[in-house]
Amino acid sequence: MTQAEDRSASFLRGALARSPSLRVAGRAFSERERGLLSRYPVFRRRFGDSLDAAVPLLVMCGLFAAFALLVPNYLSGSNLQQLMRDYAEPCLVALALGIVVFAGGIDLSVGAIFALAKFTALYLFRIEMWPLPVAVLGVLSVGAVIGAINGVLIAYLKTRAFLTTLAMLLILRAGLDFVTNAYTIELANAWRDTEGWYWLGAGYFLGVPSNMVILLVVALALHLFLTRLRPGLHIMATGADRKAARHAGINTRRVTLLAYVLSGLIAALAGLFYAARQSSAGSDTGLGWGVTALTAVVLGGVSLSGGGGSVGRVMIGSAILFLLMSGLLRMNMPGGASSALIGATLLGAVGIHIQWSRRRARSRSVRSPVSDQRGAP
Amino acid sequence: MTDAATCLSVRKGTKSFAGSVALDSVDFEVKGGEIHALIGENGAGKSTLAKVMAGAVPLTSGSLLIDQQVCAFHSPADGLRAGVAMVYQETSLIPSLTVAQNILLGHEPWLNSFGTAERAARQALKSLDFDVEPTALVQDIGPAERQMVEIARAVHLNARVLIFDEPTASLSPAERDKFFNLLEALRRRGKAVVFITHALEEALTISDRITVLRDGRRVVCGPAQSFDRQLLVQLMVGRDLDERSTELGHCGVGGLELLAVDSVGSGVDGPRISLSLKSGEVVGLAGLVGAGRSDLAKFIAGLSRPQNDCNWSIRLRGEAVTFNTPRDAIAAGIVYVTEDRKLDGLFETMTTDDNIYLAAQARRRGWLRIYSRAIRKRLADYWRARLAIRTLHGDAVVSVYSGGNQQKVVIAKALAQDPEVIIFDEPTRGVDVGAIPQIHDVIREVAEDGKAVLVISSYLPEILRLSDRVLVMRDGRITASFDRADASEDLIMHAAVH
Repeated sequence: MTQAEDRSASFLRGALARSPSLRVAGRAFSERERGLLSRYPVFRRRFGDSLDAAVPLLVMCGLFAAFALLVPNYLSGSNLQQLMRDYAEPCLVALALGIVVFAGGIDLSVGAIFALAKFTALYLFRIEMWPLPVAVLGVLSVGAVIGAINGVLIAYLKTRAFLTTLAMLLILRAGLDFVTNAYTIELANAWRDTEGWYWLGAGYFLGVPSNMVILLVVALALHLFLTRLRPGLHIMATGADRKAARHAGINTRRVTLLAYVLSGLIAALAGLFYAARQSSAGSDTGLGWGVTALTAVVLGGVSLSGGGGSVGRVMIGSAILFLLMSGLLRMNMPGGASSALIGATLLGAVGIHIQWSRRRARSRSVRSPVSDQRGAP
Repeated sequence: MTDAATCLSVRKGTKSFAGSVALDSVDFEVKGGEIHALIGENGAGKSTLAKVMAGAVPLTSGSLLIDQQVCAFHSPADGLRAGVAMVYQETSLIPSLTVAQNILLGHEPWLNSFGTAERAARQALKSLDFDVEPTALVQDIGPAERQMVEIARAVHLNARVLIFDEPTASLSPAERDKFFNLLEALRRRGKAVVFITHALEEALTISDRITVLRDGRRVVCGPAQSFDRQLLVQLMVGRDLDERSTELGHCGVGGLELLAVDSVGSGVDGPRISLSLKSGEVVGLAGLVGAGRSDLAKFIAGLSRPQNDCNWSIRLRGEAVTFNTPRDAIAAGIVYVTEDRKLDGLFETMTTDDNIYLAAQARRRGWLRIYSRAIRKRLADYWRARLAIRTLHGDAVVSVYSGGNQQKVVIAKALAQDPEVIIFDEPTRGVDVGAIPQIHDVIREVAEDGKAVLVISSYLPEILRLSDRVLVMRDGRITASFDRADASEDLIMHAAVH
């Protein structure tokens, strides 16, 4: 170092030592603050961040309250049970998409996987007469395999997620049309029911519909997986910044594959319950569910660029959409308008989200000459 | 040549990216208990060599040896497994995770709770004497703290070989000292440390051995005592660089006032910013990082808008103006040369010609314009010659150029817009030693042409060397103004920190 530089350096050092507020980077936490800060990130957020997280929740509660007032018998036990039963499957499909979005990808084929799983469940259980547990495993593995195909193509062969899953959607849909046409009559004639199958379609556990129970279990497991378990953390890290994750020694390709496999599994699980509930295999099953799931994910405030969001957010987003759709249907809105409503809601959410995050980014930006109001120290 | 203590070496390492050779048959080795500095101009292949050792980049040919055993790394995970950890130049943290999660990332246990992660991270940070809150989200902490987190991660891995790519660039002097103490401690523990730096003094004082790379080849490798600054510069540049006197010739100070910026303050303590630029004058704007210099510049050049109740007046040649977009500012003759060329300085996937030609479009009005290859070529050739931009093969995109050449393209883009007022923000950041004097010359020439120039720089010798007048900013206000004759590093630093 030159002498002059050395002098200025020691000068700076002295100044830094004297004045903690001058520390160039970041804000320091005081002892008291440190004590208050919980170990859970959610409590550490600034007000803006918590508000950000609370808005979808408030909207959901508002919608529920509004329909409870407007629709007669909305709060009756049987109606609530029916709502939960109808909510569980779309929410599972949204979670299936959510995982992939967290990992920084996109999956347009979740709706198709769901539909194929539904057909597979009926086929294996009713026509092939497999025992229920084996049939369940079969259905889940169909989902996992399709997810794995997506995953291998995207992670290892580096195809674009958007195009790959779009192609997968088209292929699955065509295949589904083919098989449903081929088996319509057989399926209509086949009749088989077991206790387990009945529980899947219409059973309750402590008054909660079976598929809702499973949804809650899956959601909790997934939440713990993504926040506590190593592979889950790796999914979030990879979604946030693929290169940084790779540099940290994460096998990002395997992680991406894992996300797609999990996604396929969960979508197939949704299809299984739907099959037990709706015994006929219409080829229009799951049409548009992918878009609904995407809308739900965005409504929950999950960033499509990956790494952000949580299971809770996806569930809330899904609930908002579901309440809106089912509520308006109950209020005798014409059926065709619902698609338009999804679109409008999505646009609105995206618009609000962008405005909101722009404002937040502005308030977050560190001292700018034009905004800093503090006087000289 | 290699002895038993050598724990990592590269033999005849060659790496080529799409035709251009980044490393050409390079030999490199590092022993346990040694600090090995890797220096060279930008584009000399230092980062590539480091990434090869860490496993982030595979070799095209040649071999990598760990403990004399040939091994092949396919990903950084392989490198980490073999005990090689690297702190990358570009930050490698996940902003949405906490500091603790980032420190453990990639080698966390299967089951994690926020509590255990926090404890482990707090301990790691404490052992390094770094003051970073482990529960903070990385997106909320500053660049220096991020750097500390990355260092803590590499150390926490307990790797045998630690590679640091320009670790000190964003650290304050105090933190830098702390970092060097850390390197000492690592050396005493028998770790092998490789560190890349641009600050030659750091290499000379801290390291045991120095390897100099130039144009992808190893020029020399030897004990640090056998070098001095002058020699290193020569070896890096490969020519006798005239480290000219610290001052450039100064033309007569300022003619006409071209630009005046004032904040008509609502504040009690008078106007906070008052700035005037005269033609033919270079004004240096000094200050600490975060003092608001770039924000001021961006505001002047129409890139951002002020957010408070202050009334601003910008007068260009005496006329009050307001710019809502950079396009307005450019049309009026004010351009801003960005401090971060990767972020907003270049069209990275386009050629030099296109970059310059596109920039020149900003001064043209109207919708229907013919894209003229001839004009593009003429324009690009002119600026290439004037700024001595090295040409790679015909249509190489700018992202493959070295830092110095990229910076020259950024400057050419600005000058091609025919401005009267030019703001250079950190004009030589990440620029090779050889290109710095060239860029300085260009800046002086521009002023001599009668333009008004504002130079923002955190490197005080640069400010002193270029400026006719020096302004110092702190916390969003201008706190001092010196004429060239009165300015000294001490005075500037004093105004910047108090």
